[in-house]
Amino acid sequence: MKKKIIYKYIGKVLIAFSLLMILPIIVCLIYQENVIPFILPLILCFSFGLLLNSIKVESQTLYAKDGFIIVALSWIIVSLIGALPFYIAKVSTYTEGFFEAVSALTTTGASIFKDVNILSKGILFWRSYMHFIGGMGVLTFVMAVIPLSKNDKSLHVLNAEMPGNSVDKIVPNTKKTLMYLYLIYLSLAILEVIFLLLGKVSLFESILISMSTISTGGLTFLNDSIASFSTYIKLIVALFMFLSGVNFNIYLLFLLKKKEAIFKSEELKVYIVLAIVSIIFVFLNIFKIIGVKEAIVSSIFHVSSIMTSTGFSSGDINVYPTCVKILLLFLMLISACAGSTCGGFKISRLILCYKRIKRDLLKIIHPNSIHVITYEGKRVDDSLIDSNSTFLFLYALLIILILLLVSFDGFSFEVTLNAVFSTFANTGLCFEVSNFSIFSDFSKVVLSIGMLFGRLEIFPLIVLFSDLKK
Amino acid sequence: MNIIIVGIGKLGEYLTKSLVREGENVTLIDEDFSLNKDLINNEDVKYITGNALDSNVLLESGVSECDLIICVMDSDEKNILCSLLAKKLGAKNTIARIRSIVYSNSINILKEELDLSMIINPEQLTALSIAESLSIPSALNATSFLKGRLQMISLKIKEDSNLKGKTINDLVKKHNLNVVFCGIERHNSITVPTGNTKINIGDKISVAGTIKDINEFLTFANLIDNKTKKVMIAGGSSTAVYLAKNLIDMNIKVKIIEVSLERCKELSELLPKALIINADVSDQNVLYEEGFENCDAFISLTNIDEENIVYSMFASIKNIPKIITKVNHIDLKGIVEKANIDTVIAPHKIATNQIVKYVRAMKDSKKSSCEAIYKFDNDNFEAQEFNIKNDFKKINKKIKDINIKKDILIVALQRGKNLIMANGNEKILLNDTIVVIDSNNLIRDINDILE
Repeated sequence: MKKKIIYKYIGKVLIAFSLLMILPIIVCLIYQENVIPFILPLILCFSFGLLLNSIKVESQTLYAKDGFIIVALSWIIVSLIGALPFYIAKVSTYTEGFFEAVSALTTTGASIFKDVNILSKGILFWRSYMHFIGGMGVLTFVMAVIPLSKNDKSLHVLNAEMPGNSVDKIVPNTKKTLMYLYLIYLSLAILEVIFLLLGKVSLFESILISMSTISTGGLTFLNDSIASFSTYIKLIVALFMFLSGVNFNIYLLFLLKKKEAIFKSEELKVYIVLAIVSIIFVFLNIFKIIGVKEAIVSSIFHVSSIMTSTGFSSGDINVYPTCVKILLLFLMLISACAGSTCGGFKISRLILCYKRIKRDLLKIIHPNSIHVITYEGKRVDDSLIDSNSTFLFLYALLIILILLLVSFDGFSFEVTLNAVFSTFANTGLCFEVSNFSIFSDFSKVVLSIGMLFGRLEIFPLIVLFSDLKK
Repeated sequence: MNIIIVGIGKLGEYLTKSLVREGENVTLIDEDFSLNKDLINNEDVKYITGNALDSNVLLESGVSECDLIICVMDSDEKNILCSLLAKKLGAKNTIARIRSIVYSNSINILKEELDLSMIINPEQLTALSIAESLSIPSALNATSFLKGRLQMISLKIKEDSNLKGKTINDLVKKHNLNVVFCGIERHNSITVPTGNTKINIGDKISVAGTIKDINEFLTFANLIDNKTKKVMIAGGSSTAVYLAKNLIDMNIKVKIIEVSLERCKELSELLPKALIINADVSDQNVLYEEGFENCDAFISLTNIDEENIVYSMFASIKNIPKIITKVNHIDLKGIVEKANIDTVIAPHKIATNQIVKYVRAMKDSKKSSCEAIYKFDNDNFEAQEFNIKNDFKKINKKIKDINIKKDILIVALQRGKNLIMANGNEKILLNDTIVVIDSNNLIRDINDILE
């Protein structure tokens, strides 16, 4: 925390974030709504950012630890600011606003609003818009747009924020890589808007749904999520949710015409197979309850919604048998590919865990055997395998801890478990309850922190807290 | 033909002897001949001391008039460079030894871009040959002709064999075995058997036939054994990598024991499906722990011949059904029987056979050309495939009307896609491919088979 460069970084993040807030103000102006809820935070954020940015820095060097701290602090501060519009517009308390902002930025999509119909268009836009910003990462955006320093060694920051084990640079230049990734992100969103417009959804609603889908967020402007839309819309949304769960590098490889590398991707194969098997499993278990035609749409929609940690719903999940719910909970925790906008544990980590288990068992049976773990055709360092296992351990430990803290609210086992899983894995879909307003303020804060842990993949926040103590 | 051989190691030396015996004009280039005194004194060759990458040395060796230059130096890169240089200086054909696994992905590019006539990879050829002999584990060696249509195996007659004491006529006529007995090795000399030849204990016999007939023969001889499922390889050489790849494709479980940890990691990366054990093969505890006694085949592929022989002897004591030993340097005549290591693979011989075949085929495309050649352990005993052209003097004649030399046997012929086992009433027609056994190294040309 001694380093001034960290503050300077955060200053730049705040300036960028304040500039991003111009768009909801434009939306408010279009629909002739009150712009105060956005103007005030904008001014606050911008001036605070300028102040931090004006700090004179002697050393530009960033270490891996600094990267973690910058990311953790930026996310906390941005969430605190993101909560302000809800509070100023008097639609929620500040704690609830914070929960909503964290939920939006971490692309969780859990909401504390009992009835979203009362919200103004500006606020509705703000929620989906924060999804879209948070989907690719706040700092990723900053780094793609603003030059942070001349001899930029900011890969540490990227590594800390990007989901998955490490950033895979397909193009040698970091900035170019990020630009390409953003281009893919935006193109997917625009493509979905076009498909939704073809399904006769209004432009405003199309944009909101699209931003929530591509960022795999899940907040909508209706109380029943996507359930009231036509089958066509449901299938389009399901398709784009699924596409957002793919590692964006795959699209980049596709654009660069490196098709062989795509076919070699282990993660993509596991992702597709897992999705198909799950869809079939869900379908077989629900078609007797809700009818074949409905079951086809629902199984595809819900598997792709939960697997990609989006959390849209196309119908009542509560009628599903327990085995389906358990499978969905399991998918929630695993989630989709690294390098996508999804939350959860990530399939790549699961593959590495599986390979480690296989190797260690082999080592028991054949004590002298040597087995090098490879992933996507490359040798994986033992240190990465170790940190992957540590991550799994921390993941489980934190879930148990949060479960314990939330359990004091006294809700049923199923609700507690589900709420914790769904926030920690950034899914946001809860089986028994439609919104999170029922939880106490304490639980809301705990769940919010859980969402941040889930989105930033644990390590940055732990590094931050352990650094604060020193 | 004028042939230049660059790099006189083990392969170079053996190649020199073989090509001199073929009657070619051989020139050798190496920087140091002190280890090859015997060779240059005993063989009728010209030799030049110098660096073959120096164009003056190459020119001195007569590269501009040579028909073929064979580069078999230590390093792949030197071989590539030397053959490129030779080609530019006027050599008609070039052969380079390239054996690194790293280059195996770009072999075709290299061959085309460098205009190489042939790339020789002894390790890969050895692996192929081992994989082939594992497909019929009860045979000492197995090899196929006519693109896999005809199979030839060699067997050792043991005390409990059904075949002992029987004559060839007995076996063929009484027991209705549709195979051709190609050779009998007895007291280190091979002869082509006649109908009255009796098979004794300790003989090594070579038999050819279709895959089906060979199987019937093996069933009769009570030698059909279980398919090879588990193979243990001692030593993680590049031959082991090529072999393991082949075996894994055949759904055989492969265990490789290698002493160097770093090499083990490389192996594990190259062969994700093989089990890599980091241990010294001489550590018997490890061998037992890894189920040494239960494996179907044990293959010694370390780089040291003596180790390979010792490991194989140990495997033989433990009654491993199939033991294959790679021996590069040591001349094993007479040792093999005593040591009970039956199948011995010599990479330099396998590579030489490929090159000799190429040299024979180079001579004249209008003549009946040699398509494939297979030498057995004994250098004088070989099988060849010939494509019959008009220059064959006895074309369109029945086999029984052709007066063939004593040490030569026509085994089978291929007409179109059909395989016909040779019998007296069959005619040899234009464009047939015939397989001929030659037990005395007589044949250079198809007409050499005639008396």
